[in-house]
Amino acid sequence: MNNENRQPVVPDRQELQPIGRPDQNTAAFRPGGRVDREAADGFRAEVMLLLQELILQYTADSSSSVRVETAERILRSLLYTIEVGKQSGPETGPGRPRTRSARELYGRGLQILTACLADAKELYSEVKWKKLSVPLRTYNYTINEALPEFFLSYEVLFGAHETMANIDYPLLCDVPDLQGVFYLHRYLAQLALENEFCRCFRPEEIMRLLHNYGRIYDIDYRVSMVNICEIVVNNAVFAILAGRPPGELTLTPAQASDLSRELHALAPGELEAAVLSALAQIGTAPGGRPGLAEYLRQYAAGLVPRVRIAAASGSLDALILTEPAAEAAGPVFIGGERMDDRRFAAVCRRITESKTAAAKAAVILAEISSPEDLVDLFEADCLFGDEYTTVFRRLDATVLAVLGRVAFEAELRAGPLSLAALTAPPESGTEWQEKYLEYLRSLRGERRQAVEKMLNTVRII
Amino acid sequence: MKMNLTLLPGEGGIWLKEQQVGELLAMNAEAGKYGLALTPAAAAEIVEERNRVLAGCGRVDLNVSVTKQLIASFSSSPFVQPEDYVPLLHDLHEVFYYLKNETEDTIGDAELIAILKDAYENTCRGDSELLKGKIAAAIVERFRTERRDVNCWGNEEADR
Repeated sequence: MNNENRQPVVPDRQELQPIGRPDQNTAAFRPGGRVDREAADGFRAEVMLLLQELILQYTADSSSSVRVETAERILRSLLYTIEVGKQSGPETGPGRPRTRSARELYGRGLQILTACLADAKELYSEVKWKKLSVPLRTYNYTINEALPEFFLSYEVLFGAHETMANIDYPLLCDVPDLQGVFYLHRYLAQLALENEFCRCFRPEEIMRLLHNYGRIYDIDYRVSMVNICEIVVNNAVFAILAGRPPGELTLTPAQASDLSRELHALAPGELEAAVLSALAQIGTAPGGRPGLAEYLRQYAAGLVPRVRIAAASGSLDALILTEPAAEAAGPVFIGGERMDDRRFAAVCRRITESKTAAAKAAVILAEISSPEDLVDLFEADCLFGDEYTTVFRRLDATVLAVLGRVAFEAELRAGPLSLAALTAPPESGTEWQEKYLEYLRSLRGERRQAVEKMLNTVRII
Repeated sequence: MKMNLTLLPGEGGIWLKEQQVGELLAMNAEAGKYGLALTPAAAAEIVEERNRVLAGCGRVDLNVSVTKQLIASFSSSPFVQPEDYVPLLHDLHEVFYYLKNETEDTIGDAELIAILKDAYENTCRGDSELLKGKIAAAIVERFRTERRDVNCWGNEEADR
């Protein structure tokens, strides 16, 4: 291949951000700049011709007419693409000649959008590959389902301007007011940066932070709209300010109290300088991705005032995520990621098709890594009668205890449970809960003691 | 935001209309073989009537290829008399775009024109009122029945 002739189809990722919400009203029927009436009319005629061609492409040459809504959608897409071509052309600088050809602008815009789409797909592969293993619903849904749906439904020819995706996971810094694939590209670039940053910390540390976040704010973090990077950055900043070694995220309540007092004593300017310095340290730490420092500087605009207000009002404790006191901390069970619906259905099918209870248990042990999935599976009519017992026998004491915390959630809220006192399944008990209780009551010796102890102490995060 | 799809070059799309009238007049060479011809005024009337039908059906058609195909197809019919030519084209536009909507754009232009031509000659024996009425209704009914069958079949497949 002759590289000299190769056209740079994709602008640099840093530069792929110029198109916000271009004017798609009828004013966009103009070539741009000051033009005479004849040129404007010629430009509009070209646009209409392009629209006609696109309608034919849309109907695969079988129909020259479409419904008004469809024509409007295609026209919006066409004008958006022309605007992309206008704003991204080589002649946009001062004193450069402007092209007056709608077709040329459209062609250039389409090339840029197509390249941006291809680059967004690459970014998505990276995001998917480097996805964090956390049981956060919005995060997993956005990456596993919403983003692929966008790529499936996005039509660069007929809906270039559309951003049809249920992207719920919030980012550390808002995506600017972009449209279409430019929005998605920026979203993915930021998400990739955040993932990369979070991967500099141990997964258990991040899970602890998420769990502590849920505990401190008394919410189920798994269904909350929290941004993982935000709580990681915040605690990383506080850890640095507390003099912890780089890479640490966890603070004890005592360390947080000391830090609160220190920050409260600082003048606002000193406080701001301290937070900015900590963010700069994080942004330039080895292993950080290019652009991280700038991204964190952007985030500082939101973090600094929050820290200043919290320090002034003595409420920094609510911002710093701390570990619970040692006596309250028990063994921790970190569940794996939940399956998506398709994979879950496939596992259910494999279990149902397995001929023996042992084979069913083998599939469960090999495939299921989240307690929620295990409970869902028990409730999906894949197992019958003694097959439950076969599975329970193969589970270790911790997982059995985790199941117990789900089955006897209400009873455990009232206080510690003794297996001897458990005589009946919960009122709304299902078959698996009845079998589970039967199995627990049949346990003897060390295993019984281990399950009972775990049942009362294990924390699921 | 509603877009203005009638925003055509020049004042009110005159330029495009003239071009479309010219294209229809050029069809006189073909239709003339069967003793049919459009005057410039009649061609202009057809373009206007077609635009009215399109607006009524909520459709956009930026060229007159359908009208040209209708002329090319129907002008050879022995049932078309010169005095009925223009009214027939009005009726054909009406039934054509109505059926495009009612069959949800699943029938291509050429195929739909062939269906209409066949019905016009063999079932309606040149009665365009019958074509617009009972025949159009029968085409729509057949489309809906077939689609219902496909949906039922599809659901059965999905249930398996």
